[in-house]
Amino acid sequence: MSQSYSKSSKILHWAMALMLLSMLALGFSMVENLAIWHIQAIWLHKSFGLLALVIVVIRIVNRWFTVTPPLPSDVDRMQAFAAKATQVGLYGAMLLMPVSGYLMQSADNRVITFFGLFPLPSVIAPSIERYALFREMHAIVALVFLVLITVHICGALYHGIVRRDKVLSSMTFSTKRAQQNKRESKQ
Amino acid sequence: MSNEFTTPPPNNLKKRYGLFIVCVCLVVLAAYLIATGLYSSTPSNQISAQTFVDLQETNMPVPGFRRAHAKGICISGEFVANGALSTLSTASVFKQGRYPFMGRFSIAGNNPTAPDLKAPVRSLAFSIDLGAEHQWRVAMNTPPVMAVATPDAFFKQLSALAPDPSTGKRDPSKIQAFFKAHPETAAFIAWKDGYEPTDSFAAERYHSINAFYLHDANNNKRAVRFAATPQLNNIDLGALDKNSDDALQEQLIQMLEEKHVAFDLEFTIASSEDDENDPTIPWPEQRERIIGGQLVIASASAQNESRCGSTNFDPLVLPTGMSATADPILRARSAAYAESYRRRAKERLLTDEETINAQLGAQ
Repeated sequence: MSQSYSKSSKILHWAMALMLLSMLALGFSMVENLAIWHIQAIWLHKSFGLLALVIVVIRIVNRWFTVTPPLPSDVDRMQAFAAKATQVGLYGAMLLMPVSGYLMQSADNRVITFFGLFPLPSVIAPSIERYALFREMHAIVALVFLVLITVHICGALYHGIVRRDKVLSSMTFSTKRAQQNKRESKQ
Repeated sequence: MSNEFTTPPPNNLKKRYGLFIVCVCLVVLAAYLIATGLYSSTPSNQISAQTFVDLQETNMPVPGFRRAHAKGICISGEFVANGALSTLSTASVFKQGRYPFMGRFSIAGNNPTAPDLKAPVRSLAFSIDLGAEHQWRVAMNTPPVMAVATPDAFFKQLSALAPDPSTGKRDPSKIQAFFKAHPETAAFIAWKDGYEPTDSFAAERYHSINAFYLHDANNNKRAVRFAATPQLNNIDLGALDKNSDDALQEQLIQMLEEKHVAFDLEFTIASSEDDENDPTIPWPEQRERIIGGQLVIASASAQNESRCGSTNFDPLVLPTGMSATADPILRARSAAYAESYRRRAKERLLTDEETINAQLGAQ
């Protein structure tokens, strides 16, 4: 079994990590800040949110067709379960964030455009109650998402720093091994 | 097998855990900073949307309603565009034609049962929806200018004007100190001193206050302010029951039973001398003015029974062919309106309609 995720999985993982953390940071800030960049922030947040929805669907499909390296055999069952549950939660949040965002915009009769290229159709009739439902969902899922990301990163760091097994390096573009191979071949 | 967890010497393990704990602390700190809004305030924007709406909520009697301009009445009718603005803007709404709108007359304050005639400011909001990217939401007020030019100064203004929580009265020394410290309030004070409220929503002049850009087909932009100017054609306003808390609403309904109520939508075009990003300074009278069309109001209804009650008239929802200037007050309106909307929307979701309507008491 491969020790490492496929290159496509790695690219998708890190591209999304960068995007999602930026969007969470922007999202939590822009709902509070009264600064003049608010319009652009919303515009970027909506456009990237839509992009994230497309990418997460690609990721799920990609996950079906590529190898997922198993956890080391000596990881205890509780930890393995926690790792699995966090991953399931992360995928759930990655889907729920853009979907609740899209629905809350529709409920307030607002349009979402993809980087100004084309508008998306409204999916539900405007209603203040529905707006409240999806607006609060967007906020709660965002917080849960942030907690899951924190747990996920800490878990990866535990494997990388304390255990020093192959779990962290299975998702990094590890040049270390390549370097090692080079060194070995030179010797 | 490389997967195996090789037990390092205890000293080394201690080091690894030490490094791990430091990293965990940094990750948790980063997550905390993100969750609390890393960029939620900056030196030039210390007041957040939440702080602002908290202030507007002071002594708020009725959940489920707007935090500002809570009392209002829904209106609907047609915007009859004359096409005069279509050379300046590609917006569909300015092409000659008749477009349905829904809107709202309201009065300042956070109390949905406040007496109509005691409010210092009256408002007219409307929304014209001609499809995705062609929607225009407008929120206009009776003052032609803002007293101040930034959200932080506006917060200070509202704080100075707010009644003392212990006495329930305004503190004149606080108000005086505020206006003294803010000379940009001069034009607003001049307007306030000369303003006499009329006997009708239909007789007021409502201003966009902030400036917007109109974009033409060649993507040239012009800064404009606009105002709804009453078109009464010497018709009697009808009786006003000065003892009624709902005097203005009753009078409007009575007027609409007999005739339509109309406003011209008049646009003032900025010259190169005008600063479109400063809402405290009136533009000179001689600036070019163009009437873009007429708002013709055909009917009115209670805000809890019509769409206007549950609409967020965010003036930054603009059609293609129009955009926002960098006026800091204008740019702040979206986030502040959204916070107010979010709070009352949540209350509406969690409270049944009967309870919400019962709060209006005798109304």
